[in-house]
Amino acid sequence: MICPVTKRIQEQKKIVLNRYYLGKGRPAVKTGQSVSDTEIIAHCEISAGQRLIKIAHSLGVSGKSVHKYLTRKIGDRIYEGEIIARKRGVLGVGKKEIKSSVDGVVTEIDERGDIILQFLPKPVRLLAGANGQIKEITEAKISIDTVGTSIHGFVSLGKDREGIISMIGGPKEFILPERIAADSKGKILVGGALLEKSALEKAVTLGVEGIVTGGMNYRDFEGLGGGEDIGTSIIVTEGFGTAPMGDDFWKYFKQMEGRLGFILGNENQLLIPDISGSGEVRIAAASTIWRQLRTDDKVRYLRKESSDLLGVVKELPGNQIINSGIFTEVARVSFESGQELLLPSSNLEIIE
Amino acid sequence: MPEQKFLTIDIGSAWTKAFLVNIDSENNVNIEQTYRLPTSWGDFSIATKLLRNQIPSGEATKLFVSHLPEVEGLAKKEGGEFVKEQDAAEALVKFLKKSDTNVSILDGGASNLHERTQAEDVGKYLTFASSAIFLENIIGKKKFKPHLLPTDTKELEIEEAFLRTTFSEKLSKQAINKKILIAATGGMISGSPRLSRIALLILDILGSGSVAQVIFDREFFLPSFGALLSKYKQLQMSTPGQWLEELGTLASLGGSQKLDLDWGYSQLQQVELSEGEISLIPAPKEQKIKLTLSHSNKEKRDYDIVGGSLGIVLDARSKPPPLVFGQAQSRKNMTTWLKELERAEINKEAF
Repeated sequence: MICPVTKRIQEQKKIVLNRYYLGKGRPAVKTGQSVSDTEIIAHCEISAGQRLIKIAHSLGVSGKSVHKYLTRKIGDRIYEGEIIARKRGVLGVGKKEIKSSVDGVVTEIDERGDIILQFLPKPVRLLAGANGQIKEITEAKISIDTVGTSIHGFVSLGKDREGIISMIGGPKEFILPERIAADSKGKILVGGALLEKSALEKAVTLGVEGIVTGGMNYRDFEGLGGGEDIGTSIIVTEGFGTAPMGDDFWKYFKQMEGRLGFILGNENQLLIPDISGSGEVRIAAASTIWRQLRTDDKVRYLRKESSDLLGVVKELPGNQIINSGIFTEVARVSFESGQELLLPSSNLEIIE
Repeated sequence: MPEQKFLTIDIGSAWTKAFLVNIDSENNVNIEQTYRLPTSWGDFSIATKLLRNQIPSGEATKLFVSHLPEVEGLAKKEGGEFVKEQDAAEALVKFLKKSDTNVSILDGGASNLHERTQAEDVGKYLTFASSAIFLENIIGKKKFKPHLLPTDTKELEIEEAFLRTTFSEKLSKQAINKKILIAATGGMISGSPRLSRIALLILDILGSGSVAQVIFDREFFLPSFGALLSKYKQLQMSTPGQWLEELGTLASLGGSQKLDLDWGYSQLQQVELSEGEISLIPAPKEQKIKLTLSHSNKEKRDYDIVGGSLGIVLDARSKPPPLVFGQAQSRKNMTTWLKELERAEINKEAF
C-alpha cells in the first residue's frame, strides 16, 4: 500500500520568506545583504483613503464659482487645521472659513463644488522578520533566504499573513468567542479542536491575522471559500468537525508562543523563522509525496475525539475485513498512548 | 482469434487500478491479475510504477483510462494508449445496449463527490441518528481525501446514502416503458461487503413501476473494459468473465400489487405483495422469466427478465420511500429494509 507522506513539522528547513511592501515600498537593503529579524528592509507608505468636502454647499455658493474661494489647487498639500476655503463677507458679515480636518493632497475639484482630499501617505517600516540573506528585490516584495520551521496542515484558506503566535486553548477545547481576547489584533491564534463560527466572526472583527486550529466544520470552511478574502487566514491542522489538534503540533506551538509566524494561506503552511541564526541549514530532499508503507513508519491516523493521532506501524498483516465489512490491506499501529489498533493502511499518512 | 493480453490502468480521483487482461480464443474477457492503490496525486506515476511492478505484463498492450487530462501525457511516456473515461463509458453503453433496454451506468467513484448534495437528503437514508453538520464533515473529508475507506458501518452507510442522492438524479431521467440495464461499478459499489446493500441502494432510487436488470462489477473493471471496447471494435462481440456478475432483476412496484411470473413452465406463478413489503425470489442467472405487472394507469406490461446471484427482488414500498431526515421512524424503516434484504441474501446463500 502507498500512503501520502506528510511533513507536519519540518524544522531547520531552508525557506524563502517573501516580505510584501505595505503600500508603496522603497527597499532599504540590497540583494545578497545579510539581515537580522528586527532590521528595516523597506520604507513603505500606506495611503489610507480619501475624504470628500462639500465646499460650495458649506459656503453657500455655486459649484462653478467655488474656485474663487479655495486656498489650494489640485496637487497642493494641506494639513489638519489649515484653511482650505474662505468666503469674505461684506464688512465682515457673511464671512465663512472651512478648515481641513485631515492631512492630505487635493486630488479633485468637481462641478458641484466638492473637493476630494487624498490622505497623505503614512510612513511604515517593513522589518525583515527573520535572520537571513536578501535573495531578491522586486516591485512588490523582498525575498529573504532564511532557516526556519514549516508547519503543514490539513487545509487552509486566506492570503499570506503574519502575526505573533498566541495560544488560545488546549488541543481538545472548543474555540468559542470568549477565547478571542480583545488584544488579539495582529496575532496568529493557535489551539482547539473546533473553531466555532461565532469565534471566527469575532476574530475577523478584531483584526486577528490568522487562526491555526485542529478542526472546523466543513460548512463554515466552505462558506469562506468563495474566493474573497475575509481578512483572517486559517489553517485547519487535522480535519473537518471536532478534531483535537495533534500533540505534535500542540507541543511545538506551545514552545513557539510569542514568536513571529507567517501563514501561507494558499499553500497550507505556517512558517516560523529561526531567530538564533545559528541553525545548520538542512535542505529537505526532493519531497516524495507518496511512498510504500513499511513497518516502523511513523504514521498519523485521524481518530474521533482524540489528540493521540501519531503512531508507529508494528505489523503489516495483509488483507483483512475491517469493521465496515470492507476487505482491504491493514496495518497494526501502536499509538503514543500505548494503544494498538488494526487500521486500513490506505487511511494512514506517513509522517516524516 | 489468437489470445491477446492487455495491461489496463484506470487512474481515478481516489484509486488507481491495474488489470492484466486476457482475451482468450473464444473472445472471453478475463482478468488474470489486479491491484489497486490510492491515486498518487501530485505524481500519478508513483502509483502506476508500483502497480506495474506488481503485475509483470511482458508484451501486453498498455491502455490508460482516466477523466484526468494529465494522464494522456503519462500514457505516452509509458508507451501506452489513452482513452478518456467519457469515451470508455460510451463504448460500454453501446456494448450493453439491447432493443428492449435502456442502459444506465452507476459509477460509485470519487467523481460523485463534485455533485452538490444536501446533508438532509443524505441523512434520511441512515439507520442511525446524526446531524447535518456531522454528515457534511464526513463528506467534506472525502472531498479532500477521496481514497479514505469507511472504517465502520456508519461511515459505509453515509457513503451509500450519498450515492443514492447522486444516482437518483441519473435514474430519474430513465423512461419506465423499457427495462433498465444498470451496470453498477466503482467506489462503495464494487467495494460493497454485501450484494443486498447494493440492491437496497438501487431499489431506494428506482421510480415506481421501474424494472431494472442489474449487472455488478466486482473488480472495479468496467471503465477499463469500456476503454478496451473503445479501442478494439472486435471486442463488441466478446463475453465478460466472472468479474461481471449478474445480480438479478429489481422491480419497484410502488405499492401493493399482484403480479405474474412466467417461468416458462405450464403454470404462472402469481405473487401478491402488500404495501411496504420487499421480497426476494431466488432465480439463477440462466433463468428467463416473463414478469407482468400493472402500472398506475392499470395498464399491464410484460418484461423479459433474468435471475442472478441475488435473484428477483420485488419492492412494494411507495416511491420515493417515505423517509425524512431526523425521524426515528425513518431510521427504523431503513434498518428493517436493510435487515430483511440481508437476511434474504444470507438464507439464499445457506440454501
